[in-house]
Amino acid sequence: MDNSLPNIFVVDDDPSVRKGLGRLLRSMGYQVQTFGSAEEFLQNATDCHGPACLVLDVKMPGLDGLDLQKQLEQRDYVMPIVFITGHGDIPTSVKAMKKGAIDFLTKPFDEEDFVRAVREALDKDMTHRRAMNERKSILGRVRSLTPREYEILTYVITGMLNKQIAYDLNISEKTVKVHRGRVMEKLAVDSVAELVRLAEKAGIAPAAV
Amino acid sequence: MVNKKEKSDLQRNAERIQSLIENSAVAIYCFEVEQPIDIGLPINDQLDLIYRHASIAEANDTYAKIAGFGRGADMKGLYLSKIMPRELPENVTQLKRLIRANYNLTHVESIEVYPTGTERILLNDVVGIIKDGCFFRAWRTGVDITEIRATEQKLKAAEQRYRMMADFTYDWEYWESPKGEMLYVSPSCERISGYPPEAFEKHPDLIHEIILSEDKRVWAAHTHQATSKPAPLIIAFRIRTREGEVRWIEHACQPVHDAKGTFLGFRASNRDITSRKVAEEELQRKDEMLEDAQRIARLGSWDWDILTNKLKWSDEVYRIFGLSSHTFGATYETFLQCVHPEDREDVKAAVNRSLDDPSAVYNIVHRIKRPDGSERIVRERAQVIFDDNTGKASRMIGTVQDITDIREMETEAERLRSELSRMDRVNMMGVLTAGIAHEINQPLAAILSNAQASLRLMNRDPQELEEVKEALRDIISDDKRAGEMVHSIRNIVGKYDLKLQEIDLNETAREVLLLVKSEALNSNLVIYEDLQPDIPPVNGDRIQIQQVILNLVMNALEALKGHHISTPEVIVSTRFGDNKEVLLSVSDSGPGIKPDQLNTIFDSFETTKKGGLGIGLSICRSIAQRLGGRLWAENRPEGGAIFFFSLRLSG
Repeated sequence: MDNSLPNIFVVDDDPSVRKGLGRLLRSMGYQVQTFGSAEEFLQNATDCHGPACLVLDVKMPGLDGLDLQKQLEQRDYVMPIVFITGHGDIPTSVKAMKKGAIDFLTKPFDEEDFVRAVREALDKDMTHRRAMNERKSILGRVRSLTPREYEILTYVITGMLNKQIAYDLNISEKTVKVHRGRVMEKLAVDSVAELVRLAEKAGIAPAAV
Repeated sequence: MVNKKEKSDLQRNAERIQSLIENSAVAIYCFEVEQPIDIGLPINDQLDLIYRHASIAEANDTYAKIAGFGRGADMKGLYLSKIMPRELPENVTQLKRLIRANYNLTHVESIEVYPTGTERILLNDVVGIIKDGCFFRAWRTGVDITEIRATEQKLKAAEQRYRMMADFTYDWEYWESPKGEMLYVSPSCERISGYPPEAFEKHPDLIHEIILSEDKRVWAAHTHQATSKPAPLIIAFRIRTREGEVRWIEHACQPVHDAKGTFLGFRASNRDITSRKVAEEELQRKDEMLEDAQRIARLGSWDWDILTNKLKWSDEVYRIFGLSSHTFGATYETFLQCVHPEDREDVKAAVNRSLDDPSAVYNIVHRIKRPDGSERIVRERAQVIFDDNTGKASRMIGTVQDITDIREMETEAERLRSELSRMDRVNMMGVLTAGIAHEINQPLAAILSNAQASLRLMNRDPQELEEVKEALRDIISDDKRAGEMVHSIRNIVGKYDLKLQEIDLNETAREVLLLVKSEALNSNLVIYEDLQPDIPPVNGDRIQIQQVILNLVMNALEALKGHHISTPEVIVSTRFGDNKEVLLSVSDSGPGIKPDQLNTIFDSFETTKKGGLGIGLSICRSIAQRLGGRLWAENRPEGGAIFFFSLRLSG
């Protein structure tokens, strides 16, 4: 399996639907894995590195689509889900969308809608993966900071001046300036604005003052 | 002292008297006592003395003859006890009477019994000679009236006999004099009219008065006729009895004449014929009732004398056939003319069969054609009577009923029943819409995906034709699947004609389960199939059987909804039973059925479901019965209900 190709997981209890969707998605150039039930997906789905999404039938014997969505939520990351159903009812679709589903399509659905939903799901996954990678590299750099430097960082991103930081931490203004220079250097940013954006991406909260 | 002349005069007198006595036709005798008897003595003492001392002093021949002795002279000196023995009470009575009357009696009847045993009745005069208070002798004359009395007795007996006859006649007899007096009225008049004979005797017009006013005319006409007509005249009229009751009287009267031809008035008999009249009226009422019943039931009766080919039709038969009884003589041929030409041969065959075979039952339905061209449907039932001697059919009696309206009503009822049944199916389909849409959308979604994939595969370079072929094959099979689904829905919802055929119950059940699968899934319920393979085919109509299964499964799903049941499940199973039937059961793990509802749930409009019509199970039961099967419910020992649907094997 080519790990870089977009990967689509199809879960539907109807074999015909499974087969048809699989064929369609493959003809669009995606890699497809199909599963007859939620349980089978949980057991057998193989992880992949490329962008991926889940095409999920709502009504299934045993665990149904919404149940599976709930189970996946327990994990740190939920792959984007496109729900498909033989007979759509509004409460179910509202529930699914609230939980972050990309779309809720009623069978038989239009190719255009399906393609758009799948693309959207893959984009979302790709964006997510990218953000994850960036955060991972930022966090690597943040980890090279000394505790004092990290502390200064949390103060700098509040927008305080060096003088105020020095006063608050009860150190000299010069020391603050040195640490701040090191932080900018280690994190490879040129401006405070850039620093603030980076801290945000890395999930670093400003100091509480 | 007496002189000679005197003596001779006396002699002559005595002789004359003697001769008078001797020759008298009257019995004369004299008895005297040896010693005078004191008439002051008690009667019994006197009687004793008479019997001891009295003897005949003189008796004429007439008396001797009466008493059974030869001549009067022979009786002289005979003691009275010899002539009137004391042992016979009549004699004692006789003598005592005489003593009591002081030995003087005139014109008195006596019964005397002589030693010969002869008993005679005499009319007597007795003159006793009494001197100084003592009885000496008595002269007695007697006329034998035995014969007169006997004749009188006979006459009296005869009169009594006639009176007995008249008085005890059952009918009310009377004799009216030419002047209109009632000479005789028999006591039966009281039994019949309530009035005693005296009432009619005192008031001869009473009979006319008690006749009901509407019948008085009959009486008046008859009195006019009776006088001129010698033969008995019979009329009938009603009277009101003294008690107020109305009675029918048959009156027969005739003028009577004596031997000389003198008109003696009328003799009449009144007979109470109320019970006969009542019976007649009852008979007439029954005839009318039968006639009415035939007309109302449109059921006529007929009686065919086969030997003479005379066919009797009741009025209703004529009405049914649209014929007039006055212008139409009924024969077997006329009847056949009435039968619809297309049915004529069948009717003939049925008649011949029952004439030939005593065990054949004549019960046929055929059409008739009326003279005005209209057609009716009739049912005929008949019985053939066979001659005991020849064994041949001699008579055929039967009924003919116009069942055209009944047939039309039956057809209408059948139409309504099937419409109701269809409503039930439509209603169920309504409930199943979501699930069915789901089931149809699956293959449609697959078809669309495959078609779109095919287009893309064709546009590729190189074209992936093998994959396209594969996709097209899938499209075909998915399309078929969707088509079948639509077909079975249309079958169930649409109008159709009943078609009895061999049915594979398992396959039929699976088709139904496909329809309800999604419905069950929607409610997170599971239906398990437990179908015994290789069960023999049953006889029935596919749609009707599906309707029953569908109802049972939907009821089972309904029973599980809204209850917190740990293992909600519905099991549909088929079994081949012993007694030539296949059993389909639908069980659920719901709360079960209340025992008192196990049977009433099959009644119409009994429903516990919201939005249910309440006709499902009642329709199901009637379907089961019409297919010769059964449908019943039980509660499972482990909880929940189980419905059984039995069906007959085909063939």
